[in-house]
Amino acid sequence: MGYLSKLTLENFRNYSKADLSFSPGLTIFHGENGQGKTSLLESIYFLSLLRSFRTRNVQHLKSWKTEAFDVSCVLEHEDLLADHLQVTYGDKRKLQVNGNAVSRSSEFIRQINAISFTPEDIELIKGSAGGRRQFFDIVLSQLSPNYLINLQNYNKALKSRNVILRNDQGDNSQESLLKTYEQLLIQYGSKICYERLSLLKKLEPKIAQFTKEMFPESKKLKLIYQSTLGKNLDDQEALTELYIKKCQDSRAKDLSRGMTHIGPHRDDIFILLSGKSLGAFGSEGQCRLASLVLKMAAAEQLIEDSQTDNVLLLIDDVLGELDADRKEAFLRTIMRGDQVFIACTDIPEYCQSLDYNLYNVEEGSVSLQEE
Amino acid sequence: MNDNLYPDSLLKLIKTISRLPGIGKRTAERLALSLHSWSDDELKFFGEQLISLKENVKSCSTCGNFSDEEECKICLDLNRDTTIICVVENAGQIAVIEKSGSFNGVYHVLAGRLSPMNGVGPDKLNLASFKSRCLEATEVILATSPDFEGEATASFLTQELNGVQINISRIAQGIPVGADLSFADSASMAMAINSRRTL
Ligand SMILES: [Zn+2]
Repeated sequence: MGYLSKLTLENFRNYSKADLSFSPGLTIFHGENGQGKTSLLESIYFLSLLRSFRTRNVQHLKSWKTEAFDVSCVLEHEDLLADHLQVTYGDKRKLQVNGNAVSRSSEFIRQINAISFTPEDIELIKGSAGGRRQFFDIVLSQLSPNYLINLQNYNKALKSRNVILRNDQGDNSQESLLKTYEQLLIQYGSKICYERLSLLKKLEPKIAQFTKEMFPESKKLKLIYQSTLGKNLDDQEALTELYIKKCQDSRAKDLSRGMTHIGPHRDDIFILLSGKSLGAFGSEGQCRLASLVLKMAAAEQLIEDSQTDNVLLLIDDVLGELDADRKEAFLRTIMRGDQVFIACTDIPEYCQSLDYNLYNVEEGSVSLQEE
Repeated sequence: MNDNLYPDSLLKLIKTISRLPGIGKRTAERLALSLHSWSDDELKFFGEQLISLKENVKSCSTCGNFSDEEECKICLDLNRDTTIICVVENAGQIAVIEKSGSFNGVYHVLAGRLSPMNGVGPDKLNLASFKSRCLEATEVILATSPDFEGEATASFLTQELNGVQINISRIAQGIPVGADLSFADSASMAMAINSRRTL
């Protein structure tokens, strides 16, 4: 099991410079709101996935009026030398592992496996299908090195096909070019669908268990993969066959609109609570709990997976609305991660019986509280 | 780089040099300063090479390889087996394959690879003579890169050869040749060619 032993920030959000040291287990960032607790979690998340859980625009991570930000960490391993990971973001992104430049994000992002728990997670339930697809895609990328590459290739095939569709003059001259990219689209797309369905199956028992622990009254939370390809996609070969057929069927419509209507980029994951669409009919509280359950199940999946060297859980401001029992159930589960970071204004009671490092956060500066 | 460090004319040179692959700002600075220390004659000679580069180094009219003449040395070589054609993305790759000593056929340089997203369709590639050359050959080896664009290009060419009596093979995958075949080492290139698979 691995863990972060050091984290260094430069010009990141409201930190002009910060140096932090961690041990395995629990670390608490304590302070009032707006002091920079979330930014610390965000920087760890960024080292893990090269994206933020708060913004799509990476430039927002830069401190005001600075040219570039820099985030680096030391990642300890059980039987290997520690790795030094570094991301510098100015006009361009520069990734380094132990001082060596890494060009592809797919080579960088499986090193730290972080899962964040933030108030924005409610969008998993209430937001658009894109957010749910992205949640699955991120977990799958963390579980398998090939998933992200397949996804990137799928997106390239999709964009290429759409360009060809739009350029089509209706004279069949693009036929073999279109065929080329349809083959690639189906080759990568069927893998994406298959992997998402497999993950859903693995998550099912975990979701059932956490729903039992987290929902006050007995409720059933169910996830259904709603594919534009149709139903019964469990067999990979049958899925590919169906995909080929659907792609042909959709061709005329795709040509007339200049876009691809079917495939994993248009799929959704329906979330039902006791048979009803949660996003449409659920209360705010139910949606929050359900989003916690999904994230807990994903975290458990990463923890169970033997390939992952480390699982880091980043908890931001999601405990407030839980009663004492749920809070404990949640914290008990997440403490199974190799390393847990909690940002809070009040230290949860459950944590007080545990060993932890406490950092006080105030106006973009952090100080370790000595025992 | 601090733009006030050098006069504009030197700065222009530094910026031009830094466009070369693998050259960072600091190296470009060093190269520019080094050039400045050359004699006028040396610089003039260097400049002439640059000015006439495109004029002197032409593309072979048959295969697209670099050439001083109408046809390249490989196409003119009677010992080469013209029934087997190796398709490469750019002429730079030919040197790598030649050094590997694993191939005695002829080449076809595409001068690019498919990328509809970036406006590179088949019309932008050197494909005019491709099919007719294949009609007279027995095997075509698709040696495009092992990444997405290279795979797409290979599968497009396979489609194009539909109905042509020819063995189509693809260089072996999973051999660490890197994304840019121009810089692959000869040993792995030889392995990639020798363990090619028929499509
Ligand atoms: Zn030639």
